[in-house]
Amino acid sequence: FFFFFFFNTTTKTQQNTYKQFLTMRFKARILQDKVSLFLKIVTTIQKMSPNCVLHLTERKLQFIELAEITEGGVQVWSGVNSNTLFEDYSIESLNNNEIAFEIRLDQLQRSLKSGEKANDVSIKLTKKLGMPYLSFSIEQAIQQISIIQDVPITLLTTQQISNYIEPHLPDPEVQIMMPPLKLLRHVIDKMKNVGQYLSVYANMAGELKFKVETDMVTMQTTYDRLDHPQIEGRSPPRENPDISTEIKVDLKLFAKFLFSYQVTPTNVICCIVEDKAMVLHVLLDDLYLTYYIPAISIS
Amino acid sequence: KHNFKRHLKNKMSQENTENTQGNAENTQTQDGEIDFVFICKIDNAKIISNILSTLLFKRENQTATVTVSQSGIKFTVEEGKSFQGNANLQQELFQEYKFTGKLEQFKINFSIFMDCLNVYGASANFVSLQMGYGGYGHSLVLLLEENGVFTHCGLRTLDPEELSVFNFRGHPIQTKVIMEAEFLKEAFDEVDWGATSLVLTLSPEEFRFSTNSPITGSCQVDYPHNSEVFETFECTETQTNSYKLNLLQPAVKALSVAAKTQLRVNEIGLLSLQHMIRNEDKNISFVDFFLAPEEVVDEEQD
Repeated sequence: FFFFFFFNTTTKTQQNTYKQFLTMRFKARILQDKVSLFLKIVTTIQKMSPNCVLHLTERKLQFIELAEITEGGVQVWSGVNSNTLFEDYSIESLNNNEIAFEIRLDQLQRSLKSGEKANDVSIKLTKKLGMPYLSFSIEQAIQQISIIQDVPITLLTTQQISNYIEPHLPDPEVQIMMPPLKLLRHVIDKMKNVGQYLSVYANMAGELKFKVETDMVTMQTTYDRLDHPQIEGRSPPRENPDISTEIKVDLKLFAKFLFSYQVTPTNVICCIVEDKAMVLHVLLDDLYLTYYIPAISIS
Repeated sequence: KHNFKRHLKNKMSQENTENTQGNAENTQTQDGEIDFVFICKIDNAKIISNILSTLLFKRENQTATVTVSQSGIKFTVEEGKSFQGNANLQQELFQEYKFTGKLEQFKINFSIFMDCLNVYGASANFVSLQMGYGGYGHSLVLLLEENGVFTHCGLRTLDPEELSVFNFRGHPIQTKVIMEAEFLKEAFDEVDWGATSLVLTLSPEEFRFSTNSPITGSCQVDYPHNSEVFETFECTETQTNSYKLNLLQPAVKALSVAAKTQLRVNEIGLLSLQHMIRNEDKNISFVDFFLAPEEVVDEEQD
């Protein structure tokens, strides 16, 4: 009797999902000049984890990588307005017209790569033999052939979606604009050969220092005259060298974050929450990629 | 505008208190500032990273012995007792060169040193370098600047190893060849690098590389004595010697940054390759390599 009851509950959840599945609809056409941006986002976040959750709403597309699936407990929360990447966008579901699913980034990357030189790239949610897919329909420019690629996905339930909450951290001690990532990459690449941990020091007087240290070598790079972001609704930041903080993070993870230079951001903001995390905001118009890199305790 | 000494003063005092080994044989002034026994400065670090790149053959944990003298700073790398590479950075290369001693010698992690020199990437231009050494027991300190961004490196120095003395001129030099580096590189490009050893046959008439591998077969490259690739070809005795290809590789790779090279072999088969490098500032620098033969192959043998 107990077994029957247990079995019944599981089936009900499955039935609910399946019912939702039957009423889900999604399709969109990727703007031709935005296929490469979509690809760059995917290539960038793939460095942190092979999978991610795609959360689609009427207005927005979000990419989420939780600490459980990434190396070193990093979290990536990225979002962009749907009308930045898509046209003819339509979405329907019983859950407030929201759809979320897990997808493998290498497969998503492959389809987007195929679409890079295409005339037309459309995506839609499809069902084949009861299994859900994100289907790509690609019209090649030159050969005039159509390619259909079905990328398998795992749908998330409403309950599961509601569990995805962006980390809430205390106010950072320091917020500072990062120097150009493309150039910082050279420095960090060399530091990777020295040690495992990166110490980052920043103050509210435009100074940012990156340091790696072992008993044989110390290497420290200093950037100064950096700006501080102005937070909406607050007074502009006042220069104050006495407000400073230091944090230690895994060097390899920080190097992986630096791949976000690929999206050619206009601004990158570094926020340090002492002893907790480094939060990095990579911004390009309405596109944002937020990285939460956990602090390594100094002891 | 950046005051090198002031910037480093803190670093050096910090390091001095942490240092367990070595006596600070240099003087300490009243206000606690440590004097460097050696300081040099160059406006274009690429000049020296270009020359020193010829000595790097391991991405990790390669060591080099640094010798500082009045005439310049020399970097020496070795592999066992049969290979040595030397790069001489003459003091004229530097915009500033101050050395208060006679001779200082120490060992460093050369792979990390090169990483420091190239910290802003291989394509960076206008990187300036300042180096300082406080004497025995102190770190080698580097300060690199590009566009207002400063990188400060401290490399712990170790006791130098005893360097091999090849005494090349101790035996009569039987062959001397001078040619454009490009031509010698082309000859080496034809060699089968999958083999273990290269056999070099030199006689008044011939210049031959040959390799023999049980897997990839045999290969032979010949240049006639009167070929136009040779600027000079002097050979008094026929000799055949075999050299390990993996030990030859750094000297051959270095040909790509050299303008001219001089290849010499002495009576006991010791091979000397001296490359002339034309620096960006039009000065000339030399890098030389010594390679001991594997075995002396009798000329009667096939």
